[in-house]
Amino acid sequence: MRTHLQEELEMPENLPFTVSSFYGFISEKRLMAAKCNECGTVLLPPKPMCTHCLSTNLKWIELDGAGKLISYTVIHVAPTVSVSGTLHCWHRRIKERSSAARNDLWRGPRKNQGGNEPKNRF
Amino acid sequence: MVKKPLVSIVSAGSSQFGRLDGMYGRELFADAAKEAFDRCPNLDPIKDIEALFVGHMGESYEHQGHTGPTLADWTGLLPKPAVRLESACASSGVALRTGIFAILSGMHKVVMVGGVEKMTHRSTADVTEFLAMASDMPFEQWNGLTFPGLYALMATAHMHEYGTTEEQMAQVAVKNHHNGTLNPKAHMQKEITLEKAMESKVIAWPLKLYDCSLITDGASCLILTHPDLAKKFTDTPVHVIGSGQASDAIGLYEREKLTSLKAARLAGQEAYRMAGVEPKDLDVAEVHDCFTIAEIIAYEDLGFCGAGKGGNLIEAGTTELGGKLPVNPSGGLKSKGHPVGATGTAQAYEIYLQLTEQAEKRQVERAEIGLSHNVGGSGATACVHIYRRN
Repeated sequence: MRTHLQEELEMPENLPFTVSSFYGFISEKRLMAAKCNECGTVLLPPKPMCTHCLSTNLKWIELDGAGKLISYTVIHVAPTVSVSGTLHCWHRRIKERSSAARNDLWRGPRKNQGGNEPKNRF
Repeated sequence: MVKKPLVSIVSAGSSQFGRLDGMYGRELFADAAKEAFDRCPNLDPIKDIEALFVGHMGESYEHQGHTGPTLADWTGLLPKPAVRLESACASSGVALRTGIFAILSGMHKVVMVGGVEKMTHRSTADVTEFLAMASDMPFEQWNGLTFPGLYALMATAHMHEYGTTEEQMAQVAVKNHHNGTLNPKAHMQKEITLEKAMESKVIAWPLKLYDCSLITDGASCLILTHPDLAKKFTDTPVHVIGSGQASDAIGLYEREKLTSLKAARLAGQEAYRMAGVEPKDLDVAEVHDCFTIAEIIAYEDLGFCGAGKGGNLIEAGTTELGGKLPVNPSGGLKSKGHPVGATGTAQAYEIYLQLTEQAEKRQVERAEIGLSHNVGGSGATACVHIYRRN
């Protein structure tokens, strides 16, 4: 019989604050970031430690994906292992629910349109 | 007040830059070292040089790591300590800075610093991929981003925010190609027209073929000593009077903005402060024009003009040879070429030639103070040095 503790550990929100966890969430179409419980900094991508106050007291938060396109390009010459002609969008979140000024902006790579879907390769 | 220099450059050397078939990187480095040795007859390299610091970006090109002792061997410097430094395209800028630390610590009296990369024997696709290793793996490379792609994102943002045009970027290419025709060691010694640059193949929109620097083989080196010892070796040393370096997030997605490299601004400020000079005091500069937009952003980050005014500066001709502040008289990465590990000390080599009046057809008249600006990757490393003639 599974213990309560085992179930807790398997909850997605208890996953470690790693790139693998991030892409695990992405494969479920969830955009998740780490938020520092001490200073409120939002880390996207997540890092094991808050790079603002160095605390490891973090929690997962789900972002709604709303953002502002700040640049784009179309790549015509691709490296050997990558896809060609991929559209890249960078977006900036303009409203984050935290009160700390530092937190009201983050940027993250928006998933490209089709093809090259990231797999959890770590 | 004239500040005491950090170190003095008593000699410098560079291999030919270009497509050098049949050569290994270590042989190119030996060519660069030989020029530096021959230029300084009072130096006994085997006896005087106490350590070697070399920039080398990638093992992938030649399937060769452990570059430090290899290059010490090919330049007759065994058994002196030899270290490879890797900071992507800023590898040898950082090697120069490490050489400065070695002299200032008092541990060594004379050191050689330099860099090398052998690239042209690999396909463009392979080189693009090896270079991409200097960008963020899980979030940039995975999504198919290349270096032209990263700088294209900066260019798009710069165009949107400041109205910078594709023509202004192309003007950087035209200027640097012209300068390259005056440099016998440049990879591509040929003029291009604005039309030719504008009509060239798109690599990563808005960047076209002539917005991109060259895949090149080459090596470069400098010989450094304590300023008090410089006169023992030469009557015409060039002094390094300021050195700055800073780091930023490896991925563009974590940068403050896309239109400026914060690490370059901070490195520049540190170097200016240390040297006690301002941008208006400069006579000549070599900046990291890996892409034409990078030169425009460098003008702004280094205070040659205000933010967003880089496009106007190139248009006004200020940075041409004969202008108020010639930038990249060597031809820059754009036409001299960009063997990534060699670039930082190749920039210093050009400034050394300029400040000792050995730059021949591209000599900037009465150049007394020079600057070099070396960027690693898309700006996660930046290294700025300021130099003064004796």
